[in-house]
Amino acid sequence: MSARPAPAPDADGQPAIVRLAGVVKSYGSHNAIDHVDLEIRPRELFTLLGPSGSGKSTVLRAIAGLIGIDGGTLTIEGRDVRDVPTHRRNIGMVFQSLALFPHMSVFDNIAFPLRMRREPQDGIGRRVAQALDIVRLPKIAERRVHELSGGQQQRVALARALVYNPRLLLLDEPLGALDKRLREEMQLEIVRLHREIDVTIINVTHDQVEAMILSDRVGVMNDGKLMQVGSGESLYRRPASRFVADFLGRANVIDGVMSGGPDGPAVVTPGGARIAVTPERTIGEGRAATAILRAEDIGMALSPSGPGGLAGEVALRLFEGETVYYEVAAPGVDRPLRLASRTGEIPVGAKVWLTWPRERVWAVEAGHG
Amino acid sequence: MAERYAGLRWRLIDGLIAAGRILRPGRLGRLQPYVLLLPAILLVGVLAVGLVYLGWLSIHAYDTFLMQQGGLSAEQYLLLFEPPSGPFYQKTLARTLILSLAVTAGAVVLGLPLSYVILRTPRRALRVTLLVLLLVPFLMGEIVRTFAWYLILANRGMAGWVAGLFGIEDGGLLGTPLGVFIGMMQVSTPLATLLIMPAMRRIDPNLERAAATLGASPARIWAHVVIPLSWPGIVAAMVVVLLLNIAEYDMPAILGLGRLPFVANVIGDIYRLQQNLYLGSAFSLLLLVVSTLVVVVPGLLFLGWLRLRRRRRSGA
Repeated sequence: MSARPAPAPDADGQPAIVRLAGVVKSYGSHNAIDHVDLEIRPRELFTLLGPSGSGKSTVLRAIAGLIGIDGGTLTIEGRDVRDVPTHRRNIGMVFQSLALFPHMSVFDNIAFPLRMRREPQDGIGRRVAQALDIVRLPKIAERRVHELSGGQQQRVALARALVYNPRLLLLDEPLGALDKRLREEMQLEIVRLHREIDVTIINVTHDQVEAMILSDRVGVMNDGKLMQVGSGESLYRRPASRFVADFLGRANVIDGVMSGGPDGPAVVTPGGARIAVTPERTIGEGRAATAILRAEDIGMALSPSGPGGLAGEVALRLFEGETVYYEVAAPGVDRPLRLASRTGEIPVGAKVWLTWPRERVWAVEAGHG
Repeated sequence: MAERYAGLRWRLIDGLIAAGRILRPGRLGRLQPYVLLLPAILLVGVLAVGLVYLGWLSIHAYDTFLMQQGGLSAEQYLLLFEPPSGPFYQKTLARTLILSLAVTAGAVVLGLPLSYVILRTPRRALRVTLLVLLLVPFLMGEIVRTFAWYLILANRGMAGWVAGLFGIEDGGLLGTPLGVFIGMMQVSTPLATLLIMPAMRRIDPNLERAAATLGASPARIWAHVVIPLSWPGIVAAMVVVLLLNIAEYDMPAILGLGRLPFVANVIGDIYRLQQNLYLGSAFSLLLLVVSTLVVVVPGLLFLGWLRLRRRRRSGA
């Protein structure tokens, strides 16, 4: 294949394999991609996470060259790809519908990219067999695509996108249509593939669990904007905005005003409830802020135990298996607080006392999404 | 008044329900499928009777002077194949086949991209407009359409005028094979497009996107994805367009100025001018056999080739 120019190093001196700078894609007055800056590092498994319509697939399609961009620059391996058509970008892509060619056998599907690259005939058979080996599907090369099970089709689509050793593999929600068990199996498969072969993967999903399990880093998108980029854990523990906090996991987002005082920082709601938050990050006193109280961080007891905390009354109790889901109405807080209890012995209607370790409660400034 | 109509309407619906009960599945037992086939059998039967009658006429001698039927004889077929009259009929048959095949090829070649463009037009209003435009040739009467082309292709029409710009005298296309070809293309192209469309519509656009990410240029996406997946439509278009063109009458009669008759025109002349039902029947049957062969033989060859290729692949 053609010689690649040396990729330009990014700000940290680490070369980025894909770089988006101020990328805009608009449909009429609506920006499907709204000034996105993003750098994907080599060998990384990166996930774009967001609700449907957030623009995550559009970003992927722009990287693949399936849609043009209206502004900003997009470079792959240091090369501006604005004028490079899809078929010359040398990327692998797996679609949600898989897009296997129905008129071809499994072998011909996987051999397709090799034939498009005019590889010698004798090498094709060997490389297709290798690719089928990598996705652990030997001995099905002669089958027709429609004779395969859903999981097998997934693997064939992966083999087809990997057989020509692209540096970049794009996954456009290929697991979205699978049932839960198969999806988990394929997630592990992708992690294994990523470990075994030298490839950078950009995955798109609306499934936050998948994003956190699979990825080295996750970028959360909403309404065309990239809200935050970081490891799954940092996004979960230290969300930069109300949207990210609300989108990941089960969180109570409580709006109020930041206040100090002898008991440490707290968000005070308009109704007068004090939510103690971590002292780690300081938001100026008197500023509008949102406390993010994770459901699993809240402890519930029938009597007050120490300072801080909130009194309330149990409004709802749902048995979920591993945990019991509670909603507790607390005076001064608009929406009932959601929490998960391991024991779940407290009945509906009980007067309870809620507590939480303040260092686990993050606060974000209001007005950040 | 309104009540009376309402009562009538209810009675009508009751009647339909009663009729439906008689035709209810199972009522007629195992005979039911055959009973439902009756209208079709009647229709095909009438055509078959006509065909047998044609066959019967074609194997009789006929005295054109006395206008009397003779005994059983191969005379009519000899007239079609042997001099002095044979070469004219054969030339007509050859002209019919060659022009029809050319028009079919042209219509399919133009119909593929046309169908693709219409199907992939993102805006619904524009797509529907294009579809309606495609149907316009069918909304016009055949004669109106043919005479419109007569005006366009005439010496003093558009064709002659354009040729004149290049200094060519008498550049009109009337009476030339190209003129007939153009006239026939006008109906054949939208017809081929309409027949290709259903097959092409079933192609998932993601297949083309996937092919592009896998390294296929637009031309190779067409060659390896769009055309192979459109095959059912292409075959349907080829068969229907070819058969309709082989039976074409108006275009060669009017645009060909009588100089380029098709088989249908000659059969018409035999019936109307010579009033020879016997020779006409023989030529009709010959055309039927030839056009059947032209469609069936390549079809069988193609199927055989497909099967051979598949077997070779799975053997490899």
